[in-house]
Amino acid sequence: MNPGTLTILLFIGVLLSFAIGTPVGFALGGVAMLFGAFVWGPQAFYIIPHAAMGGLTNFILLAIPLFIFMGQILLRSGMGESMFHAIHILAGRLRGGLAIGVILMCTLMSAMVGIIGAGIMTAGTVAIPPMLRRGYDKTLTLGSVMAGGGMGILIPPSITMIVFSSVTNASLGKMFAGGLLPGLLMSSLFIVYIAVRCGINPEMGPPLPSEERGSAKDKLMALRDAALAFGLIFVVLGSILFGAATPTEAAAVGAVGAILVTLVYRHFSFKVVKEASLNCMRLTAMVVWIIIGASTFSAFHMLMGAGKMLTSLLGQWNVGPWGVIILMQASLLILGCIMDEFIIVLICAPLYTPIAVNLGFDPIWFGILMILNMEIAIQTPPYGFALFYLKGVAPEGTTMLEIYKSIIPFVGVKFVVLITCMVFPGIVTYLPNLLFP
Amino acid sequence: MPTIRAIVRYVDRLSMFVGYAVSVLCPAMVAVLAFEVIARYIFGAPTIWAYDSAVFMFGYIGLLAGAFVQREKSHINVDLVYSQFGKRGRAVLELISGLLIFFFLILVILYTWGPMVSAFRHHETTSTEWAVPTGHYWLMIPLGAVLLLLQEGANWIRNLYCVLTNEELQQ
Repeated sequence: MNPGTLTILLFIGVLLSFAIGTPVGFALGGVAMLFGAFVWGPQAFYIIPHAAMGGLTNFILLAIPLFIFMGQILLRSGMGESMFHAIHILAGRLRGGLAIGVILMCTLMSAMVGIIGAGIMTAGTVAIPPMLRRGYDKTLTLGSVMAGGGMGILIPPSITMIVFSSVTNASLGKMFAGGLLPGLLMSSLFIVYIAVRCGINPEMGPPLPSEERGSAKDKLMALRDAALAFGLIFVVLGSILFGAATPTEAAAVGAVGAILVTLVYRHFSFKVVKEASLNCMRLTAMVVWIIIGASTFSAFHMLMGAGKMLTSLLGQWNVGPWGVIILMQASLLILGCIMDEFIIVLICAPLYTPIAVNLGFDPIWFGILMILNMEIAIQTPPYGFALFYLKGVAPEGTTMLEIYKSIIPFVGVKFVVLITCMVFPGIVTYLPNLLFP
Repeated sequence: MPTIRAIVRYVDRLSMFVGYAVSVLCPAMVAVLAFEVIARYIFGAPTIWAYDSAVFMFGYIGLLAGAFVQREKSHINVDLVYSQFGKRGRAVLELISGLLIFFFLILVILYTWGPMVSAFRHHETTSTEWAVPTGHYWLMIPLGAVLLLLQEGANWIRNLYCVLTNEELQQ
């Protein structure tokens, strides 16, 4: 059987096993080995120890549980409440101020944690009820929480970038640096959008009455809370970007910093550490078994010649280098409608990145484009799992349709950022080249 | 039947016990690496053991807690189609998934066994300065897979019971 037919059958097999709900790691590993047994016989099974042992000695992957632990502690640290309180006092009198505040808060949260759920859950829990109570438009409120939280994987640190680096050998420090400017651009455009929308139509985000704006002392306290967040971000990101520590070390220091924050806000307890440890354990186990299965799958389809086949196929279509990049992104967006960003990066990054590099594109730039595609895919129906996170924290009676509607303008902004980064690659590559020459 | 119920219950407990036990390693891993950073940058005296032990802890947690997560059925899956089915329909799908899971896990156990034995036999060590033996680490792959296999076996029995009788095995 030729590699083309085999690849197609392999993907059909994987999709079938996904459809019946097999956990992703076991589906990838199991289907790959079934095909392996069929094509090569038992010899194929020697891929398993190779893939498993490679994943388990990858120092970069260690950053995943550390950042997750840090995020889990921060979620319970009271920082979200304090930040929202600060926003309330400092920005409440602006039209749409609270929605803008949500974006700022999520931008800061994204610079501390590397996942999407943390931002949406924190901002959703602390911000949605008071915003609706003060007459903010529901669509705008839901949309800003979702849009802000979604930046968790674009603004470093980012679990998705860690996965990308671990499978492509791209420098993680460079990836983190590359995500920073596009992330800030996205955050600024969200703010511009909200300000313009609420400027034209103040009923969507009414300014707060003057008695709710707080005294000078309140403002000072609010600034202290903001300073604490900036301090933690500086320690974690600063040490990575200025080359003082590896991302893994920075993650460990950040986790200790998160515990200190919890102490400052007087939320520290044995229970906080225990819950954070349990969730860290759960997520680590999910990641490790997915990596064992997915690396088995990747190694198998690479050995089968899927990479070469894809290259020659794209060559035959004669779409030019940019055509290839656009086709790849289209496929990422389609895959993003049915699976997690984590899995897509594990499967597609090792397949696509070498092709992009051979065409003369920068691997960091390509990696960030991939993340931007994931940004869009995770918030697009039907599967987009960020939608379900939002559903979990939205007020009772919120329909999926309202949630879909709320994200449309923000997904539009994300497309603008994606296209800007494609047209002006410097936005992505400037910082990595400056910081890691 | 009571024997089967008891076995399923013991497997559940084993998975939970191991999961809770390794979760202690999460803060330990943070502490070890944070200590290393402080030792290196503040005291100028890097340790030789921090990196290896942190990697070991990562693997121990991830490999051994797989069964804990499988008991909760929270390993990431694509539930687009799956979630459309009722309880019995899902049990049927899980029976089919289970076969694929058994197949993969048995291969994992059989094929990671050899490298583990050879690591013990040849006293293989890490390539770092600490040069600590690696056999125990490679033992965790088949061990984690055995725990997962047991847990998936328990889940499979529960699903089979549900398909045959349309009732839960326990409670």
